[in-house]
Amino acid sequence: MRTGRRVLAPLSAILALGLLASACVPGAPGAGGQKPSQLNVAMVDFMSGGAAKFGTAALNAGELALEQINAQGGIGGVPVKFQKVDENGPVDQVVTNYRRLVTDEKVDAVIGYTSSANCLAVAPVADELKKLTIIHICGTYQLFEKEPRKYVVRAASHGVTDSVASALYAVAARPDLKTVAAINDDYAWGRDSWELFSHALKRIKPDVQILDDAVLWPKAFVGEYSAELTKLEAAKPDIIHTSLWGGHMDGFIKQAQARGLFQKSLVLMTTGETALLTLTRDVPPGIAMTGRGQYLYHPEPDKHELNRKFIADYSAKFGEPPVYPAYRMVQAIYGYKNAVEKAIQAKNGAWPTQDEVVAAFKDLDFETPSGPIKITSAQDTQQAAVYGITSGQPDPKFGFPVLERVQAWPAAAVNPPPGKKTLEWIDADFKKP
Amino acid sequence: MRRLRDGRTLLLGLVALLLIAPVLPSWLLFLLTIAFAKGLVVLGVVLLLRGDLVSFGHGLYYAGGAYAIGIALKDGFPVRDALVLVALGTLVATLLAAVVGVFIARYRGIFFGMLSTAFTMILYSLLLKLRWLSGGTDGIPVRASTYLGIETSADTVRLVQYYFVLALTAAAVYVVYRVAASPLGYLMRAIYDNEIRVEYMGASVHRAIYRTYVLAGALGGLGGALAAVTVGHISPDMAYWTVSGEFVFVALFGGLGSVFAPLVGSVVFELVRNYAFKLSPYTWQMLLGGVLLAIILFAPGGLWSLFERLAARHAGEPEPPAPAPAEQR
Amino acid sequence: MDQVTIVVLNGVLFASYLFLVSAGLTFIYGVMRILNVAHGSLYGLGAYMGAWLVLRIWPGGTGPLPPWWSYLVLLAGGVLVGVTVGPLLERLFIRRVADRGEVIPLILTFALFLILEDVMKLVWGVNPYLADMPYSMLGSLSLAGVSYPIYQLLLPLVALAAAGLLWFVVKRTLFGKLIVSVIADREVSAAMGIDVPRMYTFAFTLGAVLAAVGGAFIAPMSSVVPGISIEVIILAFAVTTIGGLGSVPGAAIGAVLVGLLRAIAIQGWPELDLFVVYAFMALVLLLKPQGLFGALEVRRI
Repeated sequence: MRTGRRVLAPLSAILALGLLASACVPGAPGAGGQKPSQLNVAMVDFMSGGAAKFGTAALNAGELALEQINAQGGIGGVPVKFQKVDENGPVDQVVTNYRRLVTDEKVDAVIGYTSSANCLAVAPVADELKKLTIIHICGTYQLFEKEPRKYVVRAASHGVTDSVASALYAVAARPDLKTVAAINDDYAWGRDSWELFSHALKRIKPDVQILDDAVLWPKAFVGEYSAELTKLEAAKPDIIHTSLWGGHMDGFIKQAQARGLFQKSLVLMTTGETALLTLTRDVPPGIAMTGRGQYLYHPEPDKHELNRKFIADYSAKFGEPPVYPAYRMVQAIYGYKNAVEKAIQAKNGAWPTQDEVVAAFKDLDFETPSGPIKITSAQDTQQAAVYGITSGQPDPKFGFPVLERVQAWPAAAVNPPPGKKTLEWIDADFKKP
Repeated sequence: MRRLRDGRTLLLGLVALLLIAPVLPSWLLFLLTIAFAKGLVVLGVVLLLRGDLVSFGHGLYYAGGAYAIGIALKDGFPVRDALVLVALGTLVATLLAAVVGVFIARYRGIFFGMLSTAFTMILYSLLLKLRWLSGGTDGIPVRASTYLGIETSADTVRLVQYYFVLALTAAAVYVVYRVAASPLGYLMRAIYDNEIRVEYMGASVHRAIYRTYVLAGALGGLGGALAAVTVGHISPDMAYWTVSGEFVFVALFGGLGSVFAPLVGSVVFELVRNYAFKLSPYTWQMLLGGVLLAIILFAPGGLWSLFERLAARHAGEPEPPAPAPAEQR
Repeated sequence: MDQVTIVVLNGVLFASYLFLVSAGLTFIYGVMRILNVAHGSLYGLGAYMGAWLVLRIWPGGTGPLPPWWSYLVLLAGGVLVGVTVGPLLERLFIRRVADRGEVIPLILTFALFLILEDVMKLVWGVNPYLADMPYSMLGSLSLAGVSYPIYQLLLPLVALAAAGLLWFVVKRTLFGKLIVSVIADREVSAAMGIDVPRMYTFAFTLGAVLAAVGGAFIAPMSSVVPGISIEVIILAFAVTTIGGLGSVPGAAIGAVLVGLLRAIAIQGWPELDLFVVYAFMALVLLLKPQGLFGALEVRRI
């Protein structure tokens, strides 16, 4: 016991001193305005797990884009060193990895994040650590509407585009529709998708009946849906909304097809495009799907040089055509490049600080293989929407069935005006164009 | 052994931890902070292991303490000082342990382990699905505005958190140190050796186990609360059985020989994991598994016993025996 | 009436899959007194092997052999995994700690589980394996107003076959008699001349084969990804605990109860579908810790 007593008093004294000392620690110096010899960028997406193919496509596209940019001198004349980081793992591990990238590896920008849960967790940390973070895929509209962000930018449209387009397409394809069911992942993305879709649908078809018992919330990414499919089928809805994505969506398609679900209801897949690549010939006909803002044939490669070149280069390097995650990563990277160069111009050739680069993202217009992208003053993006139905006929050029009965809507029709809250916009102003 | 428990060595260690902090890089500070917090949970597991009870579900308290804070903040808890929040988390976890302990303290061996796993999975299933309560898979962000009244900016928060967690960890370890040297501690050791003899001696085995269990639960909750405040985000995965498995792993990794062993083990573990994951994301689990295998087969006393053996050899003293989870009776 | 049919059908499906996973686990415990966490890994290995073989032989749904052979391929894949990995784990690792109580082997099998998780990632990569041909090709039939995939009726048959096999082995073969003897009293069996270590290896392998075959047959129903082992082992723990560790009939009853419980929850209170399983597990442990069919253990002094 003597030992204990001997320890206690000096212990408390030192602890008190320690706490006082901590309050006097000086802060880290701010990011300077000197032209660096190299830019350090981390790209984060799923390299393992059910979304691996999805994430790898995005990371590959990022690699391709940065290599091409470096071949032309880099961003603002500075070559870019990049690394690929796996997004897979529980949320706190994702956050810990993010912190490591910023404080340990001292990257200049973090580009990525597919899962909405991860975005929502990382965004406040980005502002805490003051590091430019460019989101390329996360679709939750809450990213900027929950609280404003200073250092977070999103270079692709969020879920509203897909949800609203789903409603529009549903009504166009089945004007006499009466009942709606749904199956979505039980997390932010699934919840948001359904919320926006159901509100939009109610706006343009007020008499639609939502079958509450058949609005299902399986555990996110679970992959096995026999119980849910039975319920969906029993409800016999006209349309089924789903925002399942990646590997578990592929599993769903197979299991649903075994029951002939696609012949019984019109299924709207807001993130369906990737199935064309993973399931190729086995994609059943009759599924309505979108590539979240664009789709291989839209903008038409024959008329859009950037898209044509992107498809050609990507296919040549990776052996398969690009899907929307790839397009979005390219949007993010081009956005970064354009923002930095816009900031350099504003400074008459001098290298900008990080704050200046972030400011340059506002009201930024630039061209990408997906078409023209506009990042608004709210640091979010508005894109056009495209929807089509799987034809079941494998296209000889691609080996998978392409979409037919394609419809497209301009950005203004499927996005709230900047500054307006999404849900408010849908409930008040949204209407059929 | 005496040498290592000597007050002077401990004090030196603590002073070292205090003084190096301002010069450490921010990510390492973060890692150490988390390691201390988790080390407390491991300490709870070790306390039970010393009584031959494997808590394969200690994540219940880790997540319980964290979510007590998270849910409170989500529902508009007025105070945002870290000490208050952490106290809240610890209190809730202790109460939970007091309730669960009533049932679980009567079990031994595999059944104790299974029941503890069941409880943590129950919490997991509730946290996962009751979105209105827990935020579901997305989890809840946890942010303290002040630490013992000290406000932090983005530049100072890492250091302040480090000292905050270090202070509470040191205090908790000290409490456990005293308990381990108290009659309760000795009783647990006796129970480990032969429970029936203890009963025949007239002491209440059940009461000793219950009290140790509640203490272990409190430690788990404290660790979870500290982790929540440090990471800034909590998710239902904290209650999943693999997290509890990890705590057991670190307990064996560090060894059962001392109250400091779990913390040392936890720090080494976090460092190894950080680098192993970076080097090879697909083989770090294999590495952990391999290390655990090696410990079980060759060094059952864990890191601490290796350390003690080396120290004893160095000083020319006889090597101390390595305490390990109970062998065949 | 339709709702009840759906619940029963779903319940039986879950029960089959749970039984396949739990039977081996409980059998091994009964014989060796070891709770094998790596059982989940054997399941996963079986799933990967089965899925991989099907995709290799029938890439894109067509291949050199008739599609009906895919069921044999799945079975073969599972058996292959079981008879190779099973004895390997038992001989090299588990045997060394078999005499160190119940806790140490548990932790050892946990270490093996961690290692095997990464082995699966290294061997098969991290992309999902969607080997749905055996599932899709059977189509579905209309039951209670919904279409029910016929493959989901096949799975209970596989489970019954597994149960039948175990019963036959234990009750009708020499090996079975020897095993019963070893379960009853290991020391006496050894004294009578039974090669106990060899019995252990056989029993472990049998359990491993069951797990692996279970995994192989589940694979066509959903995609095989890293992490299925983690989910399955905890469910297997729940079922075996409920049924009684060491009792195969217990595992069967436990599987049916848990399966039905889960099916009911999904139909009526989907938020609680996971909760009911673990709450039931805790309840059984609290009220009858040896499980519904487990024998009460006398404390040995």
